[in-house]
Amino acid sequence: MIKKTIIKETKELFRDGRIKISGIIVLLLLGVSVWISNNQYKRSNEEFKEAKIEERSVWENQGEKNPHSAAHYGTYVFKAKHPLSLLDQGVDKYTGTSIFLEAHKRNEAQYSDVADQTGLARFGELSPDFILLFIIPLLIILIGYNSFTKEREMGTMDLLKSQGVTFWKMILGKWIAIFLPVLLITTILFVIAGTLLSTIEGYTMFNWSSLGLLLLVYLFYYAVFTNIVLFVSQRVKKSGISLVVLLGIWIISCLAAPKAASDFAELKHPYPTRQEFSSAILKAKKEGLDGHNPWNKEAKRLEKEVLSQYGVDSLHQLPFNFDAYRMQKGEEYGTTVYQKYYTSLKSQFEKQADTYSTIAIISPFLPTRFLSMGIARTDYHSHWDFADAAENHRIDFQKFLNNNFAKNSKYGEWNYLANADTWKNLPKFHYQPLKLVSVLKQQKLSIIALLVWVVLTTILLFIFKPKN
Amino acid sequence: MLYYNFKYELKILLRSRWIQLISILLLVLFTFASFNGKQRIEKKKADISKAQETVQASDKKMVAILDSIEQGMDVSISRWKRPSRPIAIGNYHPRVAAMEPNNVGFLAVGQSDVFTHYVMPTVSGDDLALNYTELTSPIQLLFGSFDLMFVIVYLLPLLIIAFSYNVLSEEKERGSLRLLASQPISIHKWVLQKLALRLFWMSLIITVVSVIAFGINDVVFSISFLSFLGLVFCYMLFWFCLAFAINMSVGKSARNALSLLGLWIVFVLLLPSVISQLGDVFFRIPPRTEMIHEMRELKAEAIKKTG
Amino acid sequence: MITTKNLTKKYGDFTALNQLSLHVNPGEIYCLLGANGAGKSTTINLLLGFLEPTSGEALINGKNVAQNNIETKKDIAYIPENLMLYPTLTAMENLDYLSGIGGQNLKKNELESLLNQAGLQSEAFYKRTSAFSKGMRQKVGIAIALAKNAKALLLDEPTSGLDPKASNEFGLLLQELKQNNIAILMATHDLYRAKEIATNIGIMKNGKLLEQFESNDISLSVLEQTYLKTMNYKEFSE
Repeated sequence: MIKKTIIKETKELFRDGRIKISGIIVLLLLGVSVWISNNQYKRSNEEFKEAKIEERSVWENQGEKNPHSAAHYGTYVFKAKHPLSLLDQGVDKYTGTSIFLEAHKRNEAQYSDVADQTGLARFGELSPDFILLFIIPLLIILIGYNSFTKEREMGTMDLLKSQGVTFWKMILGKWIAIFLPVLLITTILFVIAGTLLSTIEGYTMFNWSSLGLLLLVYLFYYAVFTNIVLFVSQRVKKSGISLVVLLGIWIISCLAAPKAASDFAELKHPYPTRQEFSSAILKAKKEGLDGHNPWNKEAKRLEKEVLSQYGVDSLHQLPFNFDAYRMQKGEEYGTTVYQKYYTSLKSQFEKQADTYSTIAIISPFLPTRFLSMGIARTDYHSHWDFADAAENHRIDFQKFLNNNFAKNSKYGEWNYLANADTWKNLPKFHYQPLKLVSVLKQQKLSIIALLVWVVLTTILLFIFKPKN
Repeated sequence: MLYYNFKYELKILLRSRWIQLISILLLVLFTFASFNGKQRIEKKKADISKAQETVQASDKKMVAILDSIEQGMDVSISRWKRPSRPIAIGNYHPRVAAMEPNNVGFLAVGQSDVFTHYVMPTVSGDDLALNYTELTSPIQLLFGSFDLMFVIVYLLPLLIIAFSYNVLSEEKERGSLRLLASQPISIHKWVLQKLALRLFWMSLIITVVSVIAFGINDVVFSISFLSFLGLVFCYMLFWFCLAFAINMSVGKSARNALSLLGLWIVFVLLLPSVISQLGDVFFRIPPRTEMIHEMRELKAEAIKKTG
Repeated sequence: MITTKNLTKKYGDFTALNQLSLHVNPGEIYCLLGANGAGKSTTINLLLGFLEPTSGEALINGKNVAQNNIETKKDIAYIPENLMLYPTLTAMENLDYLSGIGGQNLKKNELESLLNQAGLQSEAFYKRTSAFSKGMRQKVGIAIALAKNAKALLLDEPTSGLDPKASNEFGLLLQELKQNNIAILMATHDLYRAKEIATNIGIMKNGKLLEQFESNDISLSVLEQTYLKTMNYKEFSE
């Protein structure tokens, strides 16, 4: 009986002109968005490759130079695009793609795409995630809003009941009939994306299991919507009302809730302004962490310690360049300051993330969005991971330069020039994206929220029988 | 016909609770959005005044130090940081360069969440024109803000669609169209009048609600308010015209609703992103990595030259 | 006067109305009989200007309906089969609105007297029509028709769904209108009511007017038999 319902529903759907048209339009949009996204991905990859090579060559061709000058000249590291960004751009557009590593300073990622675009870009992009998150739920609403109400309005509901149809079988049949085309479209999209990605040479390995998980997330999201659509259709009297209610739900979940949530999160756990942040760091560097133990005092203490350690009276007698050594220690001291402030910034972000998780109660869109971005490694967590990795590299980078300076010169020898081959020995920056397991750990709350949505709406659907 | 339409449309709208519903909905949305906007503006102003206060406080200290220096006293500051050197002031006692928010800034966040609204530029260091983005959570940038412009651009058309999609089709489906059509009137004109009246009442409600929204932000009697109303009115007119076209050409209520919704998706969701992407295709912004590379090469040369 | 001259309406290959010619003089009632799909409603729609004829003419008081759409509507009153009013308005308000947009400006007492004439109980005047029975709604429709003071009246299955009492009242009202020199064309299934009140009777099938007689010339039983025979009539082109 369930099979018969599925067949009948599917036939009705295919014969309905507007569903055919909308289906074709959705497929068209998906095709266009994948094509655009693919081009962008390829282009970003090339830019990344080129930038990396060029930067490295500039760095290696500095010629003879004092290591500390080289430290100030600094170097850039660039963020590669993860293959799954083809499907979900996440916040990539809004975060910078290059970080400048220099002495004494930790920099923010610079040059986000959005800063170079017009206000129109804020409306969103025709990307696959836009279609997957916004348009396909609309398609589900379009297909299913009158699933029950049409039977009532046509009068066939009474006929069906008099034939002894069980309620849950009817629901299951209709559910599958609605979900099947959506499942098909989404799976085809993902398979195409997967094929494209496995043929492009990206900088990070493409992984079918991540892709599969991403597909699963979206299927759960669509399951929630299918449940809601059928539930509303079954409870409401007229098709018109069902459509309005479902559209209202779509608007609230996908448009209004994220915006309200972001305003609320920012209100509760605001970020400092850039100026505030950098001023605070400056102050801490000058006066020491929490105002105690400023560097100039610490430096003097270090001097005494080293002198006594080596058993000499003056810095000139040390077997290495103390200036360089002191600079390195100063650098390490500086990084603790940066660490403190960046950690506090990150904790604000974590608090905001928790706020989003709590607001997930009013919208299934939120956990899906976060999960999708997380798996595609295009969320803010991934960006932090990259930024932290860059900072670690910067620390190593400074150490490398300062050690070179310390070992190969004497105290006071500020005109020491390292030879031109030195720069080639600096290890290259390799960034490994977060492992899927750690992403899932980070996204614990979103996973739970999404599952709760699926379970609750399913229960709702099968438990509440209509009055007639 | 207009007199009768006016009298009875109002009665019908009131009795079917449409006017009450729209008023409440718009009131809630507008006040929520404008409170949001107000908070943002207050925060920006607070940030700027805080920065100015810190500058004032540090200036006092600096003046005291200068005093000591002038009187020949010893100060425990390294030579290059002493405020007697103008460069030291430029580097260690910067001023606040601020962009105060406009009094109608609460209307739209626009791109103000991407960029800073104040800086304290130092004399040496990289050109600030290179990087002036703000430390905002990118998720906030991604989701956008629930500001008044969101309500107007995205939500108002939906309200208009709900309010106008079935003006003609409802008559047909209810059955009252037969009687109506047998009267010596042009149905075309009748639909036009009904929609125009609905536009009129909605505009009235929006004006009242806007006064409240602007009032919350202490800006009511200004050119900005009038231009805002004018803009919103034109936008509403567009959507009502679209509704009129669909009412006259398509048949059933459900079809009308879906067509109008499709148009909403096209105009509000798709078209902007398509246009912006076209802009990217025809006038591509060169990648910043190229700029970085050029800068680096120039810097390297400059360093080599100065030795 | 209501006239059709070789009125034809085709939808592609399907002929809904085939060369219909009839004439109703003022003071006459013409009943158009036929099964569902015979073309009765199409005829009425053409006379109201809701449809455009493929060929032939529909005339109201000598004016061509298709060419003077709005003009001719001034001269016709129409009561549809399932008359629906505005549910949130009262009977008085419905009457005021529908007569008002047609160009009449009636005062309260005039409206009340019209509703009275149509037979609606005075308690119902100020009640919302959402709760009205079909008979009550029809009475409001009659009032609207009366308000127009039109010379031609078109009725589509007016007695379908009415109980015998209401149906009887309706017949009496029609007789009254006949006295006022109004030309009435009524499409109906109701043989018996037709025989009772009609001046002329026409039987339609598949878009064609197959039989036409004066009501007085024929007995009810003959009418019945002719009607049934016509229903079984098979045309070669079928």
